[in-house]
Amino acid sequence: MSVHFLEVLQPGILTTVQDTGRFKYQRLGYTQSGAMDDYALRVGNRLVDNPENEAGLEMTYVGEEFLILTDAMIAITGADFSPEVDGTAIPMWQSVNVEKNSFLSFKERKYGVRAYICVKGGFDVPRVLGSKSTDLKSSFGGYEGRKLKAGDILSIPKMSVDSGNINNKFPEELVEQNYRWYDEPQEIKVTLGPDTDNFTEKGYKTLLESEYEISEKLDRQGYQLIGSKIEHSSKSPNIITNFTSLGAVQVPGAGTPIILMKDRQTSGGYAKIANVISADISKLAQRGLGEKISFTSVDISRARELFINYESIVSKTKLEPLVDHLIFRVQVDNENYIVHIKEVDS
Amino acid sequence: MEEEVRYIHASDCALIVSFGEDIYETVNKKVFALWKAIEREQVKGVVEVVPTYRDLCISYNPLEQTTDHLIEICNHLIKNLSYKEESERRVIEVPVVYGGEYGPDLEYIAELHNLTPEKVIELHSAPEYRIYMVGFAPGFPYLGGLDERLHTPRREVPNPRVPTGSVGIGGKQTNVLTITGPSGWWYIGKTPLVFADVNKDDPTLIKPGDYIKFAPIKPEEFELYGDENKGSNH
Repeated sequence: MSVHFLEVLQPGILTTVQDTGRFKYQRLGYTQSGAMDDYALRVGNRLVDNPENEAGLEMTYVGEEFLILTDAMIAITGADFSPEVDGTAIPMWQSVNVEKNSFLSFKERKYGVRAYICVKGGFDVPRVLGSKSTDLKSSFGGYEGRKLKAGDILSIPKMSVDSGNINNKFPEELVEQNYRWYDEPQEIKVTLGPDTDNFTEKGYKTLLESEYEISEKLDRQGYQLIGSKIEHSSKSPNIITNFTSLGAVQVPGAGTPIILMKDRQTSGGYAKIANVISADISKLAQRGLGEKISFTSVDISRARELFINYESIVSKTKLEPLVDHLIFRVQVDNENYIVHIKEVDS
Repeated sequence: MEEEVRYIHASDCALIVSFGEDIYETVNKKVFALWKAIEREQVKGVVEVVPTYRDLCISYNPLEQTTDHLIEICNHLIKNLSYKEESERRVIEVPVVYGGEYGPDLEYIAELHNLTPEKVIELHSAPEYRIYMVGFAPGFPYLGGLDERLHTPRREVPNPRVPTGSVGIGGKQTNVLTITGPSGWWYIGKTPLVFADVNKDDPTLIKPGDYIKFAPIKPEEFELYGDENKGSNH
């Protein structure tokens, strides 16, 4: 049994249903898909007491305007698009109760490029090949295999509405750290290879010492970068077609790198100079057009340590219950403040 | 001569096991044998295994598996591999209407190689083509074994829109286009079969390691394949 949860009134640029991705079908040519910022989606799910791999909505660059059709608990994470309910700002990175007939909208983009809406119970769309993610290229999965448009109505399981809600928030210092990720020029960590023989030493020096700009050719498939050309060795810039991994930095003959993301083709024939470490993919997913990135290399064992740390932040960070205090937005001398008020023993 | 197996880190969660430097059936068979062995052993922490021409690419969860241990497991499995495992050769017959509106480049290919269109069809539909890998798009087969007399350099300017099901030649290869899109290949025919359908238990018609045999059919037979088997553009 499911119940209508929201209706799209005003669509954004690109909003799709995404979970943590589609696995085990890459060998048959089906792309991975899944939330570009896996950190934000998984934390959002934890905040509304869902399994981390549940599906949420991924909005790109701008939010949408929604009419809420049933009482529900949601969490908005990732990029800050200034979410509002009925015109009043609501906090991000914490669970929020929304009421039937209210309007959820987004005022302006402050940080990052992809925001996520998670809802308790998860979006009720069919799992196709084991995943609720939208595969835009092959037009299946998610909501009718496409991005959302005006008039679309998404549902949630009925159970999720009736069950008791405990609201939680993600610790402030981690939220602030995320916004630093989203807002500052980024050093992206990579492991070197796999196709090291296809590049010269000078090529590697160029990769690690230059600054690159994200071009307008950026989407869920990959980011084409603008910047210094990377020198190939006497071997061809092409390799015998093989597997493409998430975060692979491939360098076609033209010499400027392309970073492969969640909707990448499952196989490719361009030599790969490096691979973004798993712990930095979410960071990269929040960088947009014209932003600068540079690369720094780590070895596999360091990348593994960083991954273990990343996973523990996403999955193990203790959420802070919101039941013991109230939040007020107050104005003092014309300055706005958010005040947390908690009753204490005298 | 046995080539040495190489292990290469694709990333912090993907390992490439490389069996050779070039495209050979023997190398590809080793890739497949290790793939099957890993599936059979249900190796812990393995998320996805993707066989390609000469490499097996293993994605794993670093929380559950270390690369060193994974390499140890692969070494052990490789020592005990039986390359005769591919005893059951699955051959998929793929009906094709050659020439005309179905294969607009047939005449060009025939002329270029000084052959009759009939001879091109005969040469193209004679072999059982091995599927070395599936990639690029759902159900898209990378086939080996095209007759040398049909090897043709790709188009200098790609054709902006080639329909699903088109059967083409590019360089030393032949294939079936499984999604409508731009292509630099020459298209000599079209099949009514659907190569990818997520609503079926097997979401692709073919699998890596299968063989394809093209069977020429008449245009009027094309329509006999029911709607569910007809090429669609999603």
